[in-house]
Amino acid sequence: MKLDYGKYRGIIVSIALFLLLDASVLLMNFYISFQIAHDAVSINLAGRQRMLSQRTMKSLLELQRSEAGLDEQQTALEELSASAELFHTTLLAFDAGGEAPSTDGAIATLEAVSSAAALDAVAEGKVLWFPLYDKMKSLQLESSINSPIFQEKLADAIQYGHEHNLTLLMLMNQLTTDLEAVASAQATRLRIIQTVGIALALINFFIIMFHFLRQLRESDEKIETARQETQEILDTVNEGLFLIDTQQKIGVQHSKELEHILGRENIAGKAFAELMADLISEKDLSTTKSFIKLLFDPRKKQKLIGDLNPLRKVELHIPQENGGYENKHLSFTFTRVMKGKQIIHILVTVTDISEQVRLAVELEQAQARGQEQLQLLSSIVQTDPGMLTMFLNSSHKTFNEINEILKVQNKSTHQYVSKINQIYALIHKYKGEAAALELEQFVELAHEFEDKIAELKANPNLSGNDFLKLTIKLDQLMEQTEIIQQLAEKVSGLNITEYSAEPSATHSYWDGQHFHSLAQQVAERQGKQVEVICAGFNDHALSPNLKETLNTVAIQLIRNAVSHGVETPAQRKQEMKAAQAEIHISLVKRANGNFQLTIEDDGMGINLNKIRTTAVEQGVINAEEATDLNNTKTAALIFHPELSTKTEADADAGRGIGLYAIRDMIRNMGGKISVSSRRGIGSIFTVTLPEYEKSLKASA
Amino acid sequence: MSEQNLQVFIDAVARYFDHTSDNDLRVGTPYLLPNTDPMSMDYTGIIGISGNRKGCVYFTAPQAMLRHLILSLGESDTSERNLVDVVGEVANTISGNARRELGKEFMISVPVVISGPPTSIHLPEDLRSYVIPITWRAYSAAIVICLQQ
Repeated sequence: MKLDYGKYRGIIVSIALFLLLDASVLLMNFYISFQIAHDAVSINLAGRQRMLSQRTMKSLLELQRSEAGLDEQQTALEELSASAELFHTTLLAFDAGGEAPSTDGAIATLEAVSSAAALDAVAEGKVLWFPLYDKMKSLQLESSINSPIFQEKLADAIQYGHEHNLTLLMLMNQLTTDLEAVASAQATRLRIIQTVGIALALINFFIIMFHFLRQLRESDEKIETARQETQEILDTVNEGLFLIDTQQKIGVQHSKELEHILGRENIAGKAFAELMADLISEKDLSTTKSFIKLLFDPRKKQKLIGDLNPLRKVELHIPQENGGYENKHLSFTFTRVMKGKQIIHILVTVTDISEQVRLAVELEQAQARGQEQLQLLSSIVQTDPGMLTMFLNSSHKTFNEINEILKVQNKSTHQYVSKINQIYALIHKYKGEAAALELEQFVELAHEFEDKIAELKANPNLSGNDFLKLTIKLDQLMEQTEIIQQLAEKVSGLNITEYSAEPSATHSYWDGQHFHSLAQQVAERQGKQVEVICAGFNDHALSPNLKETLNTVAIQLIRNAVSHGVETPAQRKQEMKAAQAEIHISLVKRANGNFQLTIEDDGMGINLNKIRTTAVEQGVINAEEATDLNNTKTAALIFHPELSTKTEADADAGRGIGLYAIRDMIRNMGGKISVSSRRGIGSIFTVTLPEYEKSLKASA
Repeated sequence: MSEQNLQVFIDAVARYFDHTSDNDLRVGTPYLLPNTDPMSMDYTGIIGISGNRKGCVYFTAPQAMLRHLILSLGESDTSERNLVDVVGEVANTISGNARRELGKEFMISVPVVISGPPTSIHLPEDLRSYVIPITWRAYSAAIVICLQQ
């Protein structure tokens, strides 16, 4: 790895300088110490010269002493010779540099003296010494100490010695002193160098300390500021941020929001897989691990593998403390963190996109709802608002009645069958009302409802659970009705929800047009022709309740008339009747305040024989009862819930429940229904209903 | 709400009562109930549902039935704690069954049992719930299902 000295260059240079300084001082120390050691030898030898000058003189005088024995004299001569030679060699060495025996017997190398005083001392010493040295040399050449020539030469030497001995001693002393002074100067220099060196080192040290401490402090402050800023960012950012290393472990830092988003704590340092373990499926987890591995592979282009991210949009179910789950839609993005060309980390950004997803879903639902509403809208746009209001009010009532029937709990199969019949009557009535307004969607739903009821009827072992399918259908109908109600309120400002039981003076105009269209629809499906002629519907102020009942009854009886009474044009022709049948509906108010609704058709009338046969076939009565049944009682069978003379059920009739439901409804209102019929001439249904107030009392 | 989905919850409760000595559970005719007036009895075990469908399913029963149920399961301790436990078990069975049958579409929470009027049942007031009345011996209880479309 390449070292980056960068910001440390200054400190490295300073320390190197410090070491260099120390090394220089040490080197100087070595050198000067060596010099001092050398000087010490010189001083020592210079000191010896002083001693030798005196010993030479002493040896000369020893030779001269008459009482001394020959041996002593001989010893003195040898000593004189040795001292003279030693002095001479040392002096020459001081003069020109060279070797001289040291005091310990070894050979010391001396440099030529260099200071002026020493040079003078040596030069003058030489001038004084050389004659003496020569005289002593000549003494040694003599064979006998006692010879007069020897004595003469000795006397001459002694005399010369006497004359110059003290000077020579002084000169050698001067030499010694001078050498000592030089050595002392060297020592002083050494001290100065050491002092300066240490002072410089100290200055350097303080520079290093203050300068770099300041730098370190500044640098620490910068790091702390940067750390604080990072922390602030991590604490504030709305996304979950964290790093993953090559081992797929999460870094030590992460944004605060991450814990909130994932509903996890102590995330730092965890393995990524461990963090996500319970949050995403095992398959997603394994794909994510492989994906991260790919991201760390520098050969793979990030753009190319970006699409493989399995967590780009993921729904998590995060367990909550209360045992429930919080649903979140999260988006994970993975970005490479590069250092040079090396991928060192993957930065993971987790964004909570629940709100966006929720809005998208809502938008989608709104669009779907819009579509649905548009379809519904197209079906209601042609409908008279007053009729629609009446239909919707009546629908709610019907649904509530069905729900109330479901609510009552039974035990026996017989009770269940009765329950089915009651529901059947209500839904069939509802279907008629929807068909009258040409609300095909509701007719269809009601028909499906009837199909489900038929399934139940076919089940001999009915249980409560079987009614679930009816409840679901009821829920669907209620839902659709609510939608259309909201829609109707929006498009026409209808005030459908405010249901009033009071007679309304501003009731909508009731022209019976819907009766006619209903009759037309039914007739068309059956290849018949019919006209509905209405009278009296707008002559009276009717309470909404009564109006609804009258409407329901009229619708059912018109359907009944077209399906069962009116013949096909061909049949009518044979009967010498006009091809188009007529149904007269009239509403009158009787003297006693009751309302009377009459529905009269010019069809074939009630076929009593067919009713008897069908009633026997369908098990409503047995054959014996059939023979005993008079015409009135036979005609009354048309109100039986389980009787239908139509062989197949369709949207118009055939399940036999219509008239039963109508009779039930009328009875509940405190009214009655009667029928009179003449074969081939037609039928008349007469419904009598008390006024609203009476009906309330009756129902109470 | 499909019939199959609703049936899963009913079957779960039926499965729990399979363990009783006489297995006399009868499912009544389901009906709808506006959420403005949620039904509740003495003890209610609620499971929350999230995921594609959101809402809750709960089993609510009177105290007397639960006491009898405990005895019928061969236990004698009918303390408050055990009553809560038994409702919790029913809710757990519902939760387990739903998890198994309905899979990922439904995220089922851990059941919560409350006693007394269920002040903590918060149902969306503009919706209806399905009430499936059940009778066991002479007692009536109910499974209530409220799921958003």
